[in-house]
Amino acid sequence: MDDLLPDLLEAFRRFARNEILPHALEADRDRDTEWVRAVWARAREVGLPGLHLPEACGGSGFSVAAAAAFLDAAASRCAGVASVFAYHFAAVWALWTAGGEGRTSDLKRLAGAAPGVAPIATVLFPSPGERYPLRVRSNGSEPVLEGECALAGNAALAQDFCLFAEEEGDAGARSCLLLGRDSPGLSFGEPADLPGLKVNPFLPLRFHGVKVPDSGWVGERGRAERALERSERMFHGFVAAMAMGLGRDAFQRAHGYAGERYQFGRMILQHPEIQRMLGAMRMKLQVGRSACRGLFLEPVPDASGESLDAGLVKAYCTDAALEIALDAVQIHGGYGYMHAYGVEKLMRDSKVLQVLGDRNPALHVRSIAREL
Amino acid sequence: MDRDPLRVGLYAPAPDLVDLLPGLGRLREADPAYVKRAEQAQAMARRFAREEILPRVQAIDEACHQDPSYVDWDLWQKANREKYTVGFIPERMGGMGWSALDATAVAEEFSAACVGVSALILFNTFGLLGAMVEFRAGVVLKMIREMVEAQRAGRPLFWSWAITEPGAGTDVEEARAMATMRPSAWADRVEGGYRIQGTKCFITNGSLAHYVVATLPTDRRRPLETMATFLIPAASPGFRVGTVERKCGQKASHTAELFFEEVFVPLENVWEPPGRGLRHTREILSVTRGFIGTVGLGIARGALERCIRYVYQTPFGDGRMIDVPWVQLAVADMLQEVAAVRAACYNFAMALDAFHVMKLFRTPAVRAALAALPERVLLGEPLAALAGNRRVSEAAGRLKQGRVTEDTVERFVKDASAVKVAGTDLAMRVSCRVLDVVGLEGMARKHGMEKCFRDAKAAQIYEGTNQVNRIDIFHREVGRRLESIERGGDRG
Repeated sequence: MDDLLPDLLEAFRRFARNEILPHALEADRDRDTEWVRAVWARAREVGLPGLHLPEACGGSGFSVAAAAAFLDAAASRCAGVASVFAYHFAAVWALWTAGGEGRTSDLKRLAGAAPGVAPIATVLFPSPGERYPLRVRSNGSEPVLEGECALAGNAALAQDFCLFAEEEGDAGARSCLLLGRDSPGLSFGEPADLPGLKVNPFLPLRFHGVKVPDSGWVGERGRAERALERSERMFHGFVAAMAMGLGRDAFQRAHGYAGERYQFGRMILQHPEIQRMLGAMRMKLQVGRSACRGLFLEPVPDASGESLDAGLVKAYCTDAALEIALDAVQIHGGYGYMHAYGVEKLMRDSKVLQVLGDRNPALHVRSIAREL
Repeated sequence: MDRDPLRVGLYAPAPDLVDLLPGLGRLREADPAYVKRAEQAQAMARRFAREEILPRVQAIDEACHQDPSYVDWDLWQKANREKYTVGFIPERMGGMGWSALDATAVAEEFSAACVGVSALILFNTFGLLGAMVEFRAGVVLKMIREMVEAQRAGRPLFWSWAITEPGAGTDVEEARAMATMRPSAWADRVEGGYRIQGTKCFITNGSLAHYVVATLPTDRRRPLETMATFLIPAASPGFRVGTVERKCGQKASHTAELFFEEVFVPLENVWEPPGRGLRHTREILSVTRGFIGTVGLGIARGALERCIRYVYQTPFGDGRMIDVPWVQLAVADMLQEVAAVRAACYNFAMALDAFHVMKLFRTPAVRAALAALPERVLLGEPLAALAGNRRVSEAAGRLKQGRVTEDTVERFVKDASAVKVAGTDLAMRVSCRVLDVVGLEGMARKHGMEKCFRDAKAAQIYEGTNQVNRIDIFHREVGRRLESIERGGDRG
């Protein structure tokens, strides 16, 4: 991501610093979703909602690597806000991947290029072990969507739901659908109140007898497996990018504080144990960031024929981010534990990032098991 | 979620102390009463944790999120009626006569349900421990009388131990660090006592305190040589509570900033004279750090038991989450870690009973007095006056010094530090890992596991960061020997 134009990266950092940072802590405390909408409105003015879409679709024409770089910058100020963009980016990416130019008018709308309020979108991936997975059933000639999504990001904010559903009676076949929030039969449960990403309330969704209109199919019905795989991969990459942004912030704060705090008559930065902790934090950041870059900038297989497993990159980067955040709190001592310093928020946010797109141990298992 | 819960730990009604620590079986043969009492303490605390604390955990956490100075006084009153606020006080004087083993069992059970409540109710008794470690009969007896009176009247009585300062966390707990510290609070000698000035921060239950026990130097430029311990009633003119902190977790117990603006403290409230303050702090830490280890053990256990219950109840594909092989092995791994740390915590508690200040309650003189004198005498004015007599007090101090030596204290600081690091690192590791197991849905507030994660982090920081605890372990086991070899080398 460092290969992107420096001006673009600077613009992302500026946006995060000016639009996200000033209110992030209060919004975290108050679970303030209205503020997120205000940030979204500002983001639209600078073309962020369609950052990685072609200009023909109303986008800004940058790569997905640019989207990841933006998420990294945003998460370094507030992972909660960044996660709203991540779900939206992934939804838009899925729509583009599965539907292509056939969905130009929706893409334009989601890129914020159409008149009216710029809608926020979200994406629902199949969750392994889900008791009532999303499934399309043909009720006579009329296709109907049934099933549940235990918890979905952006669910409280999104106007558009891009989802991947199984086709009843056709094992392995997947369809991609785009449905509006007001679809009859779609209902929402209570917010889960997760420990982090507070400004993005996650809700359970239930689809009960939701009729799929002709316009609801994205791409060809029952042929979205490849789009699902690519979109999921992209989402894992986005989560990894956010984790690295958060981790960098945690590292920089801890490093800065260690240079200000005195114990044993000297800066704690001069203590070997603090140096060891900071060094280990930097190591995790550097390794994680290079894996992230590999995911977005070198998608071709390496010499052994293996391409990077995005799920594993996400697992590594989010585990690393949590460890970095925990040590950042530790280096801050009591101050790190108090809300006003904003460091404990990093550990709460990173803990939620860690389980987005499935739990990391499950991703380890899946990486091997799916080859059998 | 309509299955019967798997009845493990917190959710199981039966006491299981000897099941959990089978080694106690041998001890039970030698000292049945000692083990029996601990089993009773555990059973009673588990019932209280399950029936009284557990149902309120979420509501308290949320109320404190809205208002950090919220206290569930109804719960506190219930605990007070069951005498958890006076646990360490001998039974004959109106308390529960806890041994360290009993207190450990109680701390584990409470912390498994909610470490914040545990801190609110149990940490308060550390004030008394602070007096007990010095065994000043006058001070101890006065405190006991006041605590028992308040307990019977259902009146809160909080003691806060004020050590940490804005510019000094580690520095106030370690000699070499203290020598270099820049104090943000100090005491100036004035006619008839001392005048106190400055700030202390992150003080547990500080905003509720009726008495603050503070360590302060009487010469700001020589903190190590002049550190003393003062008892300061919160009603003293010039004492003020600052912000009650908005914290990540452990919200049921307050953490506050304390301001001293020319607070006068008469000589009789000087608990430890200048130069003895660090030693006193070390004596406290030699006991309390061990209990923080147990608190960490409790957090880990609470997280793990909630996790086991959750994965048992949660459908996953055609089965349940608990059927997934990697989940089973993760649970097994956490069970073995908890078992190992539990053994360390209880071993430490029994060592306290055998070698530290707790054993003074079993000295013939104290036992005879407790057995022979009626309660009205034990808690009466004449005995208090007698105990307050300088010579009696000094005699008690000598008795204690003879049995709990300087070396005992430092040995226990090391052991307590080891237990503290083991228990609190366990709390962090397990509370993180259970969330990896249960995933996004299990992380919802209502399941209680994310709170364990938020709670755990503080325990790695307070009572000395785990880093400074490690310094204590190294210094005692290796460092001081290195120093002595080097000194010998110089001479030779």
